[in-house]
Amino acid sequence: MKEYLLRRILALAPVMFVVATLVFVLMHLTPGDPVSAMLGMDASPTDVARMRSRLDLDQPLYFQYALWIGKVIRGNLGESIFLQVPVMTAVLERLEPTLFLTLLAITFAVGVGIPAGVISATRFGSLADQSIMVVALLGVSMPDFWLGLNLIFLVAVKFGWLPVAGYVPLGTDWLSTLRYLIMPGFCLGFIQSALIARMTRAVMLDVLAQDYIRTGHAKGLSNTRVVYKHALKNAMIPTLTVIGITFAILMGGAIVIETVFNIPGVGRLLVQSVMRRDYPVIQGVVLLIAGAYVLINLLVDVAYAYLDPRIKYA
Amino acid sequence: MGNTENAGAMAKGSTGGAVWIQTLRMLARRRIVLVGIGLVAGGFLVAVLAPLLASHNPNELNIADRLRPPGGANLFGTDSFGRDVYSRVVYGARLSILVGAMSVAVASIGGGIIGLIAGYYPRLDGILMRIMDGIMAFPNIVLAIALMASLGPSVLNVIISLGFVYMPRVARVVRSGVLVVRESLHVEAARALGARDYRILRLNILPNCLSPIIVQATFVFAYAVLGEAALSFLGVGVPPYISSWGNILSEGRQFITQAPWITVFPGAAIMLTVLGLNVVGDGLRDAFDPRMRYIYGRLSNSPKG
Repeated sequence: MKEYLLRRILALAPVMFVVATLVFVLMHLTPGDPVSAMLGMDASPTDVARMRSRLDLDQPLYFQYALWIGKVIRGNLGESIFLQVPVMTAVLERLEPTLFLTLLAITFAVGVGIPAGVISATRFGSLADQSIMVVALLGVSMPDFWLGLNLIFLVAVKFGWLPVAGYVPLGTDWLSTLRYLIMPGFCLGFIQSALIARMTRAVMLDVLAQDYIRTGHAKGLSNTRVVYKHALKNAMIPTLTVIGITFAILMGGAIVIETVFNIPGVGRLLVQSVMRRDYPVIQGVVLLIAGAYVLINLLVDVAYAYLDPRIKYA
Repeated sequence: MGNTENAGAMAKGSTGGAVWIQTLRMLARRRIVLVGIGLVAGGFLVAVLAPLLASHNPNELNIADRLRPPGGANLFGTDSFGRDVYSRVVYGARLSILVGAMSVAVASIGGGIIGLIAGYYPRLDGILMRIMDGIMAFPNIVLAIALMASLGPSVLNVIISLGFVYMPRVARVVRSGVLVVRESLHVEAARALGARDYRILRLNILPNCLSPIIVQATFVFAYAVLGEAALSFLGVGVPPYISSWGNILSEGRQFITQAPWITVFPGAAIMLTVLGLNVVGDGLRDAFDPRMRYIYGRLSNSPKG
């Protein structure tokens, strides 16, 4: 196991290298001069020259690349042009709402998605199964931000139960924080729960058709015991992978949902930076999100190997 | 060369028309898949027939009639500029479906070629697949936003970005297909007869990898329609003066408290199209899967159908 863990961590290096290189290449794809795009048409030549040297754009490309990789390795993501603070600081300042939003969403997604999938599979073909699958299919087919807009109109505008949009920091009043995050958390979580329910059902159906389940029934175990003790345990293993993927979709979805609900999180920062052409922030946020995703996938893979002794750590 | 011709023909014969017919028959037997096909076909029809179906010019401003609720002359109401929402949604289908279809083409061709090369040439496999892993390490929408940020907003760039983002999905399934097919006898026979790599890839390997490409393409289509909507909604996708479903949603968002109809209809259009694609994708995947073919064969009389 230890060796497997080490091998997996070492395997991260090439992926992160490709990721960092991609981010660098992406940001240098910009047609024309990024500096004049950032500063506008009427910037003075001195300002343009100063900005070029600040962003290392006056260096040859390979040198810029080496400089950038070197900085990234040391955790230096550069400085925001618009906010005038280090990119890392800007991201950390906005981490709280994004973190709670995703946490709320994943709690909902797992808490609803797995039981729904189990019910669907154990009552294959029943009305309950069909209803759950129709709702799940709608869930994976609708844009999350559209669900958000509809909920804003219904829940916040029509009934006035929850605030329309915005955010209160956790330190001020945690109950209001929750009130602001319930709707966005639900929107994000609902879509994911649909994905998890579909996956859980498919895997459960597979497991329930296995011989050892029939043996369980044959030796007189109660249905509950067979389903929850024997089947679910094995069905959870592939489901875990989906939860890992879910995190990625959540991080992406958070960007759009934060925009819908005006939540000052990391996703909002990314979209605003695109509008402001604040390239160092775009670069930094994209790199951090990809890094977080790679790490989560590593954790999922390790958990997977730990839970399933059949995986020979190869 | 005559002999290679035969080997190729034999190999193609091994895929057999029977599998395709069986697959289609299985698809047609499942009612929900027919509903999905209907939804997708409906979306395409609306896109093609937009000028006939629209009741107004989608860009005609009419400030006197702004924010009208649905009904009367405006089936889906009007937006903040008095434009007819129904006509905008109908025309939006053109753009959203075009972007979806073209992104699928980019992802399938790019991913297909990379998958074929990676699967066939073990030397290139490592590096190509590490690059694909790198692309997949970004959440899709994040990478698409980053690409749009550097390429700038335009319809073509949305297609390039979404196609690029979904390329690794296709590359992965094609590669794993090639790895299996590469070892089969008909490939060995073709190679023994002196066929060139290009010929083997095109005639012996590609036809046997088509079914996973088709399944992936259907799902990528669904993701691309959602992706275009999300990018345009965020203001980094299709330029605002072109009506796409995402753009209508983006504009409607500012009037959500007074005029929810501006957002309800384009969102519903996206959902129905994506729903149709998802159902067709599920159906195709099950139909191509011999295991599922057996299960559904047994269950074909059940209401799930």
